Amino acid sequence: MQPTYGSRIPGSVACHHLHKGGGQAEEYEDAYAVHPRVSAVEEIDVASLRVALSDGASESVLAGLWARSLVDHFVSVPHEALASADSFGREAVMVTASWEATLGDYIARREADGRPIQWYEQPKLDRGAYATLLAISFCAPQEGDLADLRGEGRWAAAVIGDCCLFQVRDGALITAYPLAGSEDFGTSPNLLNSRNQDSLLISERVAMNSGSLRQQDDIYLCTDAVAAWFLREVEHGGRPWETLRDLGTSDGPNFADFIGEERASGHMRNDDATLIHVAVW
Amino acid sequence: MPYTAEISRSNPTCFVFLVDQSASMSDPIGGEVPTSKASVVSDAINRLLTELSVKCAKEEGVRDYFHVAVVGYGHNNVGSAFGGALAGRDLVPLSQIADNPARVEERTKKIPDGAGGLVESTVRFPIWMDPVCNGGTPMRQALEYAHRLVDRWLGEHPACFPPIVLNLTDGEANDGDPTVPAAGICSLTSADGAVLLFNLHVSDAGGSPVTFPDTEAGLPDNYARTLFGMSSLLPSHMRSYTAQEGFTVSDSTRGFVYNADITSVVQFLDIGTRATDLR
Repeated sequence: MQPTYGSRIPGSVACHHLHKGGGQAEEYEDAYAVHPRVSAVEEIDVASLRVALSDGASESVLAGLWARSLVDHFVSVPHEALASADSFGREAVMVTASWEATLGDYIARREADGRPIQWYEQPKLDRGAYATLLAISFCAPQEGDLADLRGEGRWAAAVIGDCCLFQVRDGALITAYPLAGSEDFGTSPNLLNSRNQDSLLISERVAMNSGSLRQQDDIYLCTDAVAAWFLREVEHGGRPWETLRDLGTSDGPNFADFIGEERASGHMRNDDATLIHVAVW
Repeated sequence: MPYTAEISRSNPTCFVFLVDQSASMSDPIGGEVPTSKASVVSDAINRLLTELSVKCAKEEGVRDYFHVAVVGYGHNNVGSAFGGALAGRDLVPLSQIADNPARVEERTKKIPDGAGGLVESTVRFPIWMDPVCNGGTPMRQALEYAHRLVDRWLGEHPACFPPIVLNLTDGEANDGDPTVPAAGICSLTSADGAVLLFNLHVSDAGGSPVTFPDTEAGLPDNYARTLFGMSSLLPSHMRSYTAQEGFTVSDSTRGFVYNADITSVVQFLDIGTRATDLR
C-alpha cells in the first residue's frame, strides 16, 4: 500500500514546447495552460492542478488563437466538468461563444494594419478554426471514494483528437490514452471547430478517462509528434519516459536539443512539439 | 516508404498543369447549357489554383509549399498560359500566384441559409487564364516541356515529395504518340518516389463521367483509353483519400478522370493536420 497524503499532493510540473523546424517561433500553433501558474522548480499541490493542451490544425487559419482560447477556458473549469462527456460538450460550446468577437477583432486589426483579409483567407475564416484538445484535472482523495481508502488522488481527463496522456508508475507505462499505438496517428484527427455548436456531437466524440494518482507517479501530456515518438519507443522496448523525465535538468538535454536530434534522425515527425510533465513527489 | 516526404516551405514540391488549347477545344460539351471544352479546362485550372492557394493560406499569406506552372499547348507551340503579371513564367511560387491573378471576378452561388433553404451569396473567383482554342495539339511537345521543367526542379529539390504533372485535354494529340514522353515523365524520381502524371479527359464522346478508375473497360474511345494508360497508379494514401470520398479503388486505380471534377487532387497532398469537421 502507498502512503496516504491527506488533502495535499506535493509534486511539480514542467512545460516544454518547440515550434516546427524550418518555421518561425511565432508560427507555433500548439497551446497549453497550467492552473495555477507555476514555475518548473517550485513545489506545487497536484491536487489543485488543471492542465489543458491543444494543437491547432495547420490547414486552418487562426488555429493557434483558437487553441489558446480552448486551453484558457479549460484550465478554469471545475473538476466535475471533466467527469462527464455531456458537461465537456457544453463547456466546449461555451468557448465558441466568444469566437465571433475574437474574429471581429482580428479582422479589424488587419484592416488597421493595412492588410485587409485576402480572397484566399476568406473561405478558411468562414469555416472557422480547428484544434485538438486534452484537458485534465487532478483532485485529492475524496471522502467515500474507493481510492481514498488507499490514500490515492484522482485525475479526470477529456480528449478530442490526438493529444495524449501517458502515466508511468513503478517504472512501467500503466496508461496510454486516447491512442495506444504509434500507427494510430494520421492527418485527420478529431478536431474542435470554433463554430461547432453541437454539444451532443462533441460529447459523443470526446474520449473520457480517469485514474488514480500515487506518490512517485509521472504523467506526461503531449501533442501528437511527441506522443507518436513515445509510443514507437515503447513498441521497440524502450523507456521513453526516462528521457522525458530528465529534460531540462542537470541529468538530461534541453527540450529543443532533444527534439532537434529526434527530428534529424527521422524518429520524430517535424511538427510543433509540446510536453507537460506532472510529477508526484 | 515512397510518397511520405514532408511538403514544407523548406522542402516544397511542384505542380505542372498542361492545358490543351487546340482548335478542337472549341467544341461544346455538356447538357442543357453547352460549354466549350476550353472553358471547362480553364475553369478547372482556375479552381485548382484557387484550391491550392486556399489550402496553403495562413495569417501571414500563402505559404510556398508548392511551385506551380500552367503550360498551354495549341496554336502549334507550347508555353506559359498564365495571364496578367505572371504571363510568360513557368514555375511560380504559390504565394505569387495567389497574389497575382489576372483579375478577380465576383460570382454568385447559392449556399444553405441554415434554415433548410438556399440564399445567394457573392464569392470572389480569381482568374489566371482564359479559354484559348486554335491550331493543332502538340501534346507530345507539351509532355517533353513538362519533363524538362520537372527534371530541372528535381535537380534543385532531390528530396521533395514527387512532383505532379496534370494534363487537361480532349486527348486528340497530333504530333505523335504521347505515351512515350508520358513514360519519360514517370521515369523521373525524387528520393521519395516517381513523378506522378495524371490526366483529365474532357470529351464530347458521351458516356458517364469517370473518376479515378482502375480499368479502361467502359471508357468511350481510344483517346480515353490512351490517357488512362498514360496515367500513374495512385499511391496508397491517395487511394485511401479517394475511397474516403466514396469512390471504389484498387491497386490498379489510376490518376485519370473523364468529364468529371479533378479538383480533389489538391486534397491528395498533406501539408499538416487537415481541417475537418467532427463526424
